[in-house]
Amino acid sequence: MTVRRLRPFGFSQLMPNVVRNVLMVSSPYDCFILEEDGRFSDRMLTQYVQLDLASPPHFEHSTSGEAALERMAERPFDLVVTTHHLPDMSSLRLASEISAQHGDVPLAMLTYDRAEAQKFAQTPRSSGLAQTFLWTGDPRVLVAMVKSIEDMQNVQHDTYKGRVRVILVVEDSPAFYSAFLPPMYRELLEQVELLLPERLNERDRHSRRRARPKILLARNYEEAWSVFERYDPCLLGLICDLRFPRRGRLDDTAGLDFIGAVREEHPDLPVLLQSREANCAFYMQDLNVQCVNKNAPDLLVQIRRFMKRNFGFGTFVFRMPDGSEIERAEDMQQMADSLQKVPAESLIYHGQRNHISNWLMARSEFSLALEMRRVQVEDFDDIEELRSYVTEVLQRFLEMRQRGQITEFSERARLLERDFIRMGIGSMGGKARGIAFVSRLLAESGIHEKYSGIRIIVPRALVICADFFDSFCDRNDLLSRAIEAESDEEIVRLFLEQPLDDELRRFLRRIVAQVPYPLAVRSSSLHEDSRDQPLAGLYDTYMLPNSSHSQEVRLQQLSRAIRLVYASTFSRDARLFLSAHSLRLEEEKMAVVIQRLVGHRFGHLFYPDFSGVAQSLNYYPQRWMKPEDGIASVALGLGRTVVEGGQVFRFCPRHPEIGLQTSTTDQALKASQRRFYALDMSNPDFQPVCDSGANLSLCDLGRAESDGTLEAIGATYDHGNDRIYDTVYRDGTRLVNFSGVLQHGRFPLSDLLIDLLDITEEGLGGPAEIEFAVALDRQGKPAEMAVVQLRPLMAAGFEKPVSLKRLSPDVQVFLDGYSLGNGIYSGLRDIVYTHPDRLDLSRSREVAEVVAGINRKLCEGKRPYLLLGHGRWGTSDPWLGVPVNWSQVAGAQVIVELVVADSHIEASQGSHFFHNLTSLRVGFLSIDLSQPGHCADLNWLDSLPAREERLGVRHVTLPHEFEVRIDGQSGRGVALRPR
Amino acid sequence: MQHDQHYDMVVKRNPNEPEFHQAVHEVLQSIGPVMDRHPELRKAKIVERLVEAERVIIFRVPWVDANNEVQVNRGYRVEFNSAIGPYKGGLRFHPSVNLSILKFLGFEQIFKNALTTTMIGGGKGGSDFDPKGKSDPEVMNFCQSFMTELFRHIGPSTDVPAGDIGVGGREIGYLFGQYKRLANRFEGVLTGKGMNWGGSLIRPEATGYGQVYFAEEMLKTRNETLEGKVCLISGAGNVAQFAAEKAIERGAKVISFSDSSGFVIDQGGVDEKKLAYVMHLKNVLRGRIKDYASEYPEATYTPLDPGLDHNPLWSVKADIALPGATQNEINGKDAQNLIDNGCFCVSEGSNMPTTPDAVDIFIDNKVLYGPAKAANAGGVATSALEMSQNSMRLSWPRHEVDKRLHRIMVDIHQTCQDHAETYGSPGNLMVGANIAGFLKVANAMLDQGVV
Repeated sequence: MTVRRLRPFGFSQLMPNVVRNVLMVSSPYDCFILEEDGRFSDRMLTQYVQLDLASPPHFEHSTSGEAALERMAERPFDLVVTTHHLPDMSSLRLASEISAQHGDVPLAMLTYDRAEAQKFAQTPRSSGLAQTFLWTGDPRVLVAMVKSIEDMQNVQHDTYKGRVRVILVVEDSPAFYSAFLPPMYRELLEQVELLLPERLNERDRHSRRRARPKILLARNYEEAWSVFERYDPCLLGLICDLRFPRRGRLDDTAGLDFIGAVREEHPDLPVLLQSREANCAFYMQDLNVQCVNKNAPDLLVQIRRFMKRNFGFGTFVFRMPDGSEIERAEDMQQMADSLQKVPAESLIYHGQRNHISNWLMARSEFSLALEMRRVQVEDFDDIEELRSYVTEVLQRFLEMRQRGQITEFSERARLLERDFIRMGIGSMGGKARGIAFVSRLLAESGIHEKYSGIRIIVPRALVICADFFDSFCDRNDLLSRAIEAESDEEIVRLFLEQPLDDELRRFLRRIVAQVPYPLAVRSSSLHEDSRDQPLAGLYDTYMLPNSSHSQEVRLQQLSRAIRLVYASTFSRDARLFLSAHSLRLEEEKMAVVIQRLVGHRFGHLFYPDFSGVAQSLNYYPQRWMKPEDGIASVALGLGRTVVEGGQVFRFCPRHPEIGLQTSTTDQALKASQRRFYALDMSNPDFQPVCDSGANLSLCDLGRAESDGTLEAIGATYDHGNDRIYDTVYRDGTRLVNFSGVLQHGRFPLSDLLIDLLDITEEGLGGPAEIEFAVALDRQGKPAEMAVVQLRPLMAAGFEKPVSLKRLSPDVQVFLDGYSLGNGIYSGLRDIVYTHPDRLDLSRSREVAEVVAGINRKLCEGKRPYLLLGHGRWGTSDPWLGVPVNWSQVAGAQVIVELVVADSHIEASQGSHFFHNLTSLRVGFLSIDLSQPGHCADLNWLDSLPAREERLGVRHVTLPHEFEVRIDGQSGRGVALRPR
Repeated sequence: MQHDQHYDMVVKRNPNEPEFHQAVHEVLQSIGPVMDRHPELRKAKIVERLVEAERVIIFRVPWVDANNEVQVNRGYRVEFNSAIGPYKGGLRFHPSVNLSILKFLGFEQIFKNALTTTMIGGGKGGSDFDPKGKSDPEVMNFCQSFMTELFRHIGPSTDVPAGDIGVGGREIGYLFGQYKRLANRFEGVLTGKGMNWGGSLIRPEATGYGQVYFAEEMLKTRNETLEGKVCLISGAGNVAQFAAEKAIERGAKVISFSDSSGFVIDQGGVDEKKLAYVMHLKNVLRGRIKDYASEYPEATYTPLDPGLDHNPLWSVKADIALPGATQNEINGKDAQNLIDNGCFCVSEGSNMPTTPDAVDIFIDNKVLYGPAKAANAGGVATSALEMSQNSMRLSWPRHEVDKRLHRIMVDIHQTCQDHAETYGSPGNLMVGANIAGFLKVANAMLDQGVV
């Protein structure tokens, strides 16, 4: 056969539609995230330069639907991205308006909320909504979204003009495709980049990048079928879910049927079947597909591996028909070399299956690939003739190969002159993002002028971006080793054994050389403090005195703390949490914030006068407080007391006159903080250990009194007069009631919190939660009000009202009380509860372990359950309730507290536990049996056989499913017995 | 028969007052033997008069809250019986307050006060005002409005209210201030006042001290003293702490404390230093008694076991039990365990700590049993002492108040003992206390004619 001269392909004609101008329609906070986090613009720039030859998209921002439409009337946009909650119209209305006025401009939605994402995912594209993505905190989702939109727009043209390959992805869950499309695009991008011929000029290289395979997403059977019918000849591979909607209904076998249909046309098409079913491997042989479990912790790795192996991206492995490997080809030259020597059987094996053609397609060598596909084994007299033909064809391309790399360098900065410095190019994580955002908000707000004499600050922060975490883990293979580790201690050991990257160590060395104050080393993971997946308090924060005379010791301390934070990503609690909430461990990335610790030094202690958490939304307003008046929880010393649900002082900043805890003497005595946390500076050479509290001191109020920190916030109970006096200059028992600050003008805390919550709420476009610390003026320094963290606060979603008025009369209610949240929680069969009469609070830590054990089993069995107990769940004070942490009850879908006399649930409002409760939309009931209408039928529960019973904790499984209904409007919730 | 008639009459005349009915029922039951021996009381219709409050005042309490909204509560003062002195009884501010509850409390107060041997009658008052969630100025507004009506019904020789639930030192201060302003008189019209404006010393200590004094008196009847006696104390609050203080002072060996989580046993005995630690732990740190065992390793801690039908604290070998925790903390089994382990004296500091069957076991086994209504009367007695000091315009020093408290407890014990013996139950101080309280009031009413 004559060797055909292949004409170069006109790549420059490809990708006629490129997104250059994007209109973001969202709150200022969302806009901030998109533009700042993970150096989104930079990342876009880099990726666009590599991919499209086009300018990176320019982002414009509108804060409302009307404003967006006005802007679109003024100038053209290629893409509109909206978040769901717009102040003036729904996103669907915006979609239909845009569709009517600018029919060709696609609109994509980004949402924080899984339920919302799921709801909109099936919205027909005819509605104007092209695509819905779940915002996971990873800016690469946006890149994937833009690429996905471009692929949709270009596929018809590019397949027609250039026979560009198509990868069909069939997936109905936005959570999943939002998670795996970014790495798929990344894989495409990297592979295409790696495979680009070296000696091309820049323009040709860019042209080549346009020929990358398209990824088309189909969200149901009909869409999948439509893509298949249109682009069948160009199909490179199929990644298919097992269960997705067909004719508007979720169909358990849709995936199998679709793959079956595809197989009839393409017996050798690489197909990856994704399923939640552990035994999906069952289908492997029947359908000749590869399977992956969607719950597998390394799902993304498996998908990338599949692409690499089957889409021709990676090394070409020459095999014999029995599968044995005989040769490898890394590149075109090696391919050409190998083709000359592999056995004939192998050549026939690969030739008949178009493997070489696919491999070439993936390298955008379309002409060559098509030629390879065109020629058949049968066309040649003998196999050697075939061999010589393809070898010769290949030789034509041998001069074009090389790969390129871009390296980023960090800027050398004087650390004490910058408020926010980042190291690395990856994501900063949720916490750092919040810190950066609030820093900007405060700078723009003008709040500083209003409070003269008070420094309103965001403590200086240095962020080590998540790429360092990635490279640290990759370099030391820590992901798989940590997954295999049997205990948290082993994980910590694994992480501490490995040194940090040299580059990072150089950076840390500069920190310890320049920074003279105590430091807080905080986790800042991708999920942390995001709206939908808060993970608050799941990872550790380490406080460092940073006071050793030896710079080397300080460096070791910092380095250890960072590695301990890294290690906490893989802790048993974190893994359990992620698994319970269908989040993949490998998706979680950890950045680290190194922040100045606010406070003063008092002898061998260092602590702020007080710390707290303020929320702009109060779930339990009392008297004339409105929910939007907000609530604050404050405590003397470090904020650990607050976020761990300890004894704190609560007040409404707009109504500090309402004594939530001080209205009676007895209440004030019971509610008063008695101990506080401070950083122990006595051992400057202390090396951080796994327990992040190891170098914290728990001090009594006597210590605060002698330090002078009790004066502004303390009071005295005079036993003889049975009276509390707002002073510490009387004999008696000391209390903390913040009267000096809130009633007697010692510090304008209420006003400051009102302003800060207003500013942050406006910025976030929704309820906000801030953590703060206050160091009053002393030692010649002005008072400091430091906002140490900002996170969005989940507002109760009342979209679909649940009324309890229409309960059928034959329904038996077994729990009835105050509630938080809204919705119907069905499909529950398991109840884990503690009976007040049998619960021994003196052993509540052991009880927490028992609960955790049952939780683990139920999580593994994917059985959501109702957790009911006496006292406050999640408290750090074992006498107030069972001190579980969030991961120990991660599988609970509804949590019920039986209120004990004189305690009240809102006491935990500032805690991380409470934050997680609301953010994850766990149903919550608080039952106070002294209240009319409240009930808890414990006798009925006791009458059910126990699956497990230990230390007063009982686990029962009902023979039938029961449901819990929570009416968000009336704040009442009930649990109904199975009929 | 007579008892049933009286009770039926009370129910009929006071419908919808179940708490009051219950209180009357219990008193009528306990005084049956007395009425049989005293036809003159029947003739004078003492019971019929006793169950009818002398005066009930119900009044409107309007006030303005911190949100400038007008609020209206209902105020009460039940002036039940003044046969032996001005009405005396607490003011309760709590949403559950209603006429029935106040009549029930006021009725019981008559006999409790009478038993103290001091000259105070019985009354009770309050409001459905809920101090929970209210600010300091709001509480003051309410107290001032409350007193604006009440002031015309009270006085140092007429009615002397004290504090109760929801009314502590702060509220007494606001109430007193408004009374003084309206009446233009500084006088002992309330008890529980601040120490530097008419209050009495020894108030926090009174119940615990009194409890020990009462025990001491019971021991004397068997020629015993507290010296060297091993005491079990339950609770770790005010009552238990000061009972321990006094018992230690008198040479007893206190070996236990408890709280809602469990109890500690310190066989070596609690000394002053250890007691100071308990006071710091409970009053300042608000910690758990378990921590005592951590501080003093020689002590053992036993957590509460809700599954048990008895409290193992009462199975520890001891001579004397001074319950000071909560009601019904000693049941029949506990009583038997105490006896089996050598306990021969029980003096109650908390209200009704012993179940009725346990009381029977104590009495059947000749245990020296000081019922709460007598043994814990130290608190009420000190209120009477505050009145005395106010009338005399004097502030007695600690030892003086303590001495008089001691005297009162001695007298209470003597009175109970005498009446028990006179009415055929020698040594049964429960019977003695019930009868003594009633008779004191009944005889005074008899003396004073039909009023």
